[in-house]
Amino acid sequence: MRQSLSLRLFKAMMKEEWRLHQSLVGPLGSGLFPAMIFVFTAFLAVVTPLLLSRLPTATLLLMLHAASVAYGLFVGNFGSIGEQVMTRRLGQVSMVMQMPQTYPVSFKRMMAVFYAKDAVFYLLYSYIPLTLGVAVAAPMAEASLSGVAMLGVTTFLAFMVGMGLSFTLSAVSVRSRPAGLAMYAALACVVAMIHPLGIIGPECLMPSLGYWASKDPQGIAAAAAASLILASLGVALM
Amino acid sequence: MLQGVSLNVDEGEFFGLFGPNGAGKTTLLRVLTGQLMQDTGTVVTAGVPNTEPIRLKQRVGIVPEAETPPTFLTAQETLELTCMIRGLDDVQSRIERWIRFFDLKEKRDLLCRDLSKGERQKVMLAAAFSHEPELLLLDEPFINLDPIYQRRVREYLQGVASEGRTVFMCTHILEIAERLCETVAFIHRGRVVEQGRLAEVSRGGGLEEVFLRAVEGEAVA
Repeated sequence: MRQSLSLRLFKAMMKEEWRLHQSLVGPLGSGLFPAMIFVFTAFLAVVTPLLLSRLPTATLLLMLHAASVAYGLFVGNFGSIGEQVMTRRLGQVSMVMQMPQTYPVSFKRMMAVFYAKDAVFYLLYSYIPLTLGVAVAAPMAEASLSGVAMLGVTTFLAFMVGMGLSFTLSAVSVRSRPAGLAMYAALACVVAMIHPLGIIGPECLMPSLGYWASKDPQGIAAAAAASLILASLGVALM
Repeated sequence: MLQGVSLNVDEGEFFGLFGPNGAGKTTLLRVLTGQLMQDTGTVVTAGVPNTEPIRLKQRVGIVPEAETPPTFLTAQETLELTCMIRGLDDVQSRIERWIRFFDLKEKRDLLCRDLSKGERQKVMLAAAFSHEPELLLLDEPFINLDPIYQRRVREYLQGVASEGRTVFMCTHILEIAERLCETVAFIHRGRVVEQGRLAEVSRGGGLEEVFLRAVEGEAVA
């Protein structure tokens, strides 16, 4: 059966991403990265009771989710800043993402597939090892496995919101630099309103964090919706 | 910046566009393929307005000057993907044909980053030729090719034109262009300064003289 074009593009981009990582950090470093995340998070989970004696649970969760949003922003932005890094490291680099310049496929489709690829790749490359790392140490960290699974879900959704935000910011900036700058300024304002002004809660930027306040699944639904809306906006504006 | 460019290339023509570096050739090709939009006027390429770039690219084969195949895909994967994008049937037989044509059999499973510049150019050409388009838009198609493949590509392009398909080519290799092009245009500082049938434009001289005359005015004529 003939595979759909989007699926073929997705597979090509997954291969490309993996090979790019191998080129940047070597086959060993690239392969070991998920293992490192696994070990590191297992270690962190083991010392969680110690951390929680110094830090409130809410602060620890806030840090984890904020780090995930930042990671998502970085991954989403790698297309623009990463090109310079790659060119410096690997010489002239051409990516599947650039194929619409020469071949009959739309940038919108490429962007949508690229977003899906990043989501799946980083789920496998970072968030599953992270969740497994916490899970193996769960008995020592006095955490339930269902709680660990939910932590994996909410931090991954925070990552997706960061990535969606980054896609939208990039797409707006490509269309209009002043509009892009205005969006960056608005994002900085939202961050300032969360901290230090404290006018709004961090859940405004990280809806999945809201789940931990009341175990209300609405936070998860809001985060999933926010990441989808942001990604769709980014794709539509391309 | 292009200004007042008006070109008409007929079906089945082998057309050459020439000009010094920075004259606007690549910009013109990007406008023709819908990658850039003109401020005024209309551009129709292979019967499709450049405002419909996907439909347009379905009907043409493009080899941009500065573009290489995806760095982290193999030659085989690149050709498979471009055939898939074009929705072609008989993908493997098409690929085999061009792998053989460019003698890439030993290199087909290497990442494009590990190919030489000439081999990458062969992959780009194979991807542009694989669907046998009615129009080929080629920016320096012979760049990095050794004389064997220059000749092979030249003969293939002559065959394309003799079948009634159209070739639009930019090149600085005037000796090759002289052998191939029936009609030519010279572009300088974003304007078309000379165009017509090669025999009429060259007035018995060579393309180099026409090029210098077009670019440097009457000083050389």
